Amino acid sequence: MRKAIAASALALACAAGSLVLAPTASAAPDACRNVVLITGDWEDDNGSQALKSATSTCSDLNLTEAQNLTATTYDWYAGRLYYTSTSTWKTCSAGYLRINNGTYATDTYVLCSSVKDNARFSVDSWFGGGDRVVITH
Amino acid sequence: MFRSPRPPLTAIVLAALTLATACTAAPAERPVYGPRAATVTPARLSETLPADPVRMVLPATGAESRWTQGLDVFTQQVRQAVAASCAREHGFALPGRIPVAFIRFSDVPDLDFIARHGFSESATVPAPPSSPAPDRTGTAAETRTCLARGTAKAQALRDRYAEVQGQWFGTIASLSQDDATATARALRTLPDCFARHGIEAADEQAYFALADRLMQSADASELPAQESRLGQAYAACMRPVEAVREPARTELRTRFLAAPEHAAAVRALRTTLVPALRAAEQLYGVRLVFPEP
Repeated sequence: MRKAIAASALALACAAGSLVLAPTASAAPDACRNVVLITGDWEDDNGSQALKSATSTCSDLNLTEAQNLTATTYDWYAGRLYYTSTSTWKTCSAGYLRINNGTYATDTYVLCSSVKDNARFSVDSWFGGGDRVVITH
Repeated sequence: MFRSPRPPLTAIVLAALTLATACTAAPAERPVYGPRAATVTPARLSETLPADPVRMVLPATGAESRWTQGLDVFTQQVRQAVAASCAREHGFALPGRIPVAFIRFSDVPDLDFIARHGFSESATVPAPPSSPAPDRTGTAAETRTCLARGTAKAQALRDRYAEVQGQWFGTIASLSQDDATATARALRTLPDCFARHGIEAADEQAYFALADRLMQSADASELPAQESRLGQAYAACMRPVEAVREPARTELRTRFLAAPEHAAAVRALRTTLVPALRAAEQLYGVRLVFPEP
């Protein structure tokens, strides 16, 4: 029992410690990679998926440009990651974020955080697929 | 491990070293279990529609958003079904796709669901009825043609509610942006509440970031426990926030429904939407279902 508590406390301390110690994603823009994605499974592998950069200093998936190409001037966007540990796609914790068409600095709209190097990712949009987004990673 | 007694200073150094070593080790090596540790049961599906269809299209609560999510998944599945049928007719198989999923709205959190199932899991979208697929992969052109056909059918369904839904989402977005309200006060209680659950996060966004980080570094075997713990704490701490926002959204919706400019759209939702959805179910072989905690 004590060992379990100690282990939990240690893990909590580690979780808190790593959160505090991790650098905030304030890297210079050219230290991060940009990729243009089409949302949804619209184009299947051709333009709707990408791999998280393993060499950039950005650890998150930042949505830095949104273009909803349908009638509305905004859409809801959600990040999805492929987990190799379970061989399944999971939606990132934030779920759908409401984002107006436009361009944004990194750290404004974080779809997914602390994404593993080379993780496969995709972006869903609410009002159908086919939106054009720029993900800075 | 140590047989001889150690002076206090050395004990502190040892503790620090242990902590440092443990922290550089992958968190997966130190699983974290909450007070009610996980038995994570899978989420369920429901077929129950609201008595008033407007609640499906214009959600005011996290629970109502389940209908909204299910409706969107339904249209995506109609698209897949129509496209697949078109492809079969032309003797080719559609390429594999990222599975359709129920996805929640950040601004309208479904706390009961998150408490039980965490953030990244939802109910499993039912697989479409499978027919033997042709072996041949289609050309880009014919794939596009069949996808476009599917999209058109899905869009025809969405057109029945998309505009009024967009107006509704715009209305509730303003609720989140108003700083001078009880919502903002309730949101300021989050960091202390998270801390009481042993989680360090300054706000919701920081919480999502932490959840993403922990989820990705956990072993597959620990994921359910992590999801459960993170979901329970978030739900517990967000209750006071939703206790302010849900009545506010519900009040907004009452006014929205009564507004003359929405009268025609609301009438259409209440009379023609559900029959159209039922007809689509029959025609395309897709079930209208919703995630259920």
